[in-house]
Amino acid sequence: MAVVATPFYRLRTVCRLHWKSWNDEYVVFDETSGQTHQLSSVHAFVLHLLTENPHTQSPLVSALLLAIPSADAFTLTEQVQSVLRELESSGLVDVVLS
Amino acid sequence: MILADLSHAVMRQRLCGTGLVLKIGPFAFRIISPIPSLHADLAVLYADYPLLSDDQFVDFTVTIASGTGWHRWFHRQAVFCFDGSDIFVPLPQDHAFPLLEWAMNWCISMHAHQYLLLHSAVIERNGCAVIMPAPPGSGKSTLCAGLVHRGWRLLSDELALISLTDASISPLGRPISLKNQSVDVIRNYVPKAVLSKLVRETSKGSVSLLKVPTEHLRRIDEVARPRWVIFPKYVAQSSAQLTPRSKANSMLELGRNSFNYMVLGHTGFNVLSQVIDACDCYDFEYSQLDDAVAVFDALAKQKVRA
Repeated sequence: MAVVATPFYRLRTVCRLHWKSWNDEYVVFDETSGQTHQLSSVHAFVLHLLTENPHTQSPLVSALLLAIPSADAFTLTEQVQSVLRELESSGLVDVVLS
Repeated sequence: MILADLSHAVMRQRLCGTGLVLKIGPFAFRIISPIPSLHADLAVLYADYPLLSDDQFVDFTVTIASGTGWHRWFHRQAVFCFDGSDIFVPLPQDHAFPLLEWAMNWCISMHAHQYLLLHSAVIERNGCAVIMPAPPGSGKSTLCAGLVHRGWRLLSDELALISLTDASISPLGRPISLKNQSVDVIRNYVPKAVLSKLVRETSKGSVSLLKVPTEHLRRIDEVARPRWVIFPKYVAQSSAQLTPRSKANSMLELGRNSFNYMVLGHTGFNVLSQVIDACDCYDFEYSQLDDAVAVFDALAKQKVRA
């Protein structure tokens, strides 16, 4: 029987992040790459959770739903997918298969 | 002692010999050059700058030499030499004075990592600085020149020198580089303006440098606090208008406009964060200098009331 691997997202181990925010605007500086990234609230929320622990997509969506109860679950799922792709392409997050 | 205290003969002798040491903002430059057109413009535009003795510490030695390649038989050239190396390609000899200015910019931007360096104009009023980063052609220098002749103090036209310890901005106080139509705009706007000889067909078009008002040089040691980040843009026929912009995006734009943000790493991030913390950030469109001055003056008055 085939086992489908679940992707876990985690902060890249080499990243050393420093945060700065103004109201709902965020920037994060990665000391290792020297890159500074501008983040939306959702990007910042997801990245912050991933700095604490690796997660699959599902608990990230659940956490976001708790933070924004009025949001639509389907829309948030799509949004988290997109945010994870962007964080991965920025070199802040990588994917491991369980 | 200032440069104007030297006779032209002694100035020429020093420039052609061991060099002339000038205090320019926080830096000491030794300038060496045998090129007469450079001597003439230097004598006028740097007349009020402190002259240092030959044995004082010098940050940068800038040599603008005559070209020695085969080209010299057809077109006389000027070459920027730094520590024995030619840094830029040789230019026609009548470009010598703008070349000296570009050479000084290069020296600071490549070496002065005791500051966070932004490619930006900076002006000041009541101790509060406006940082004006902008790409070439945006009207930054024209706006800067107009404002410094209507009550604002010039800290720099090209380079913001931001302290790594307290984010204050040190004046550099060098001539303002005007290009193409801006030269006539400022000649009309400031009839008493002192400008260097117009040099045509440089890589930036026609260039002339505007002398810094003497009273601004007297205050060259007075630092200022960053208070506004304003991205100016000349737009023909537009009315002068400030539009608030994102702090996070302004920080990223300033980082892109910096010569050494990446070099400074975490320190650069902290200093730039402090700057943005302290500043209101705007985009600014303008077409008429008088209207632009009115908007900036209103901003300064708001600050005084606050």
